[in-house]
Amino acid sequence: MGQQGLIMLKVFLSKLMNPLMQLMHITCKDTSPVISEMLDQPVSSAKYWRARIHLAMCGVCRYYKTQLEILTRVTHELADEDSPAKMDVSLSPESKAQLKKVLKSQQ
Amino acid sequence: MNKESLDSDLWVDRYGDLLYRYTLVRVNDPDAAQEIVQVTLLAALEANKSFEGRSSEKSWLFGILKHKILDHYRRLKKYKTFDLLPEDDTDPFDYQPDGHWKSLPIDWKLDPEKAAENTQLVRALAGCMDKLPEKFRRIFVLKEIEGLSSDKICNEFNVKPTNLWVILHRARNQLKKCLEIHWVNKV
Repeated sequence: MGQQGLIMLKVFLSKLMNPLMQLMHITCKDTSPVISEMLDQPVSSAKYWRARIHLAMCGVCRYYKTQLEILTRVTHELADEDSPAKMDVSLSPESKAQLKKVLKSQQ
Repeated sequence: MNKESLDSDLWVDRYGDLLYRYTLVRVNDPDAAQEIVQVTLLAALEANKSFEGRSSEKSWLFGILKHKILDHYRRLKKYKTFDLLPEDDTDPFDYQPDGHWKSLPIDWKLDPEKAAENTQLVRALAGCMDKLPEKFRRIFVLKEIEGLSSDKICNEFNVKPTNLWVILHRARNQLKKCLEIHWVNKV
């Protein structure tokens, strides 16, 4: 295929794709809430595919998705019984003494 | 039954701080958290007969604590709405008029698989959670920390499903933004 043919092919493809893109017109703003929602529940297939198509084209949203996934993992770690989250706080000695007193009085 | 399990002084010394910290992650109010720990240990005393050493004492106490924290949330909903109101409109992320992100994402330089091992990040996230608007924090805790199903949150706490997604999305965005200020820049 010559140079001319290639240009014609490009024009043909863009003529085909542009209306398709217009039709879908999925922006980052549309996709970002869906990325978040997909972490919580299965979304409708229309929503799912619109998001997937956008994600395939948009590296920024792909990284946003990675960041939200990291957030979820770290949150689960935070929820753990031995979480390091609040290591710097403790019950004050007075609070502990008070707690012991209350418990003793109930025994 | 283990004789030790009746020694409430020992409970306070051994588990007091652990229970308190666990509660503080969920209930951002030291007085309320302390109250919940007390109610938990009192309930444990009361229910001591049901502790048959099948689980460890620690996980038994945490089991009771989890119930008491949810009770706290149920009491809250009597005088605080969990649902989204027009004045809660605070998405920190701006988009360009054409719907693209206004600024490019900051690289967290992090292997997603290993993120949870990053103690600094876990602690930074706890700090950022405390900065969330209270309503967003409550919903985020119920969903992501307590792992309640969306249906349960919507039914039990009177939140419209569409609003639940909006709240969670905004809470995540705010946490992400806060981490980028307080954590990413300091790594």
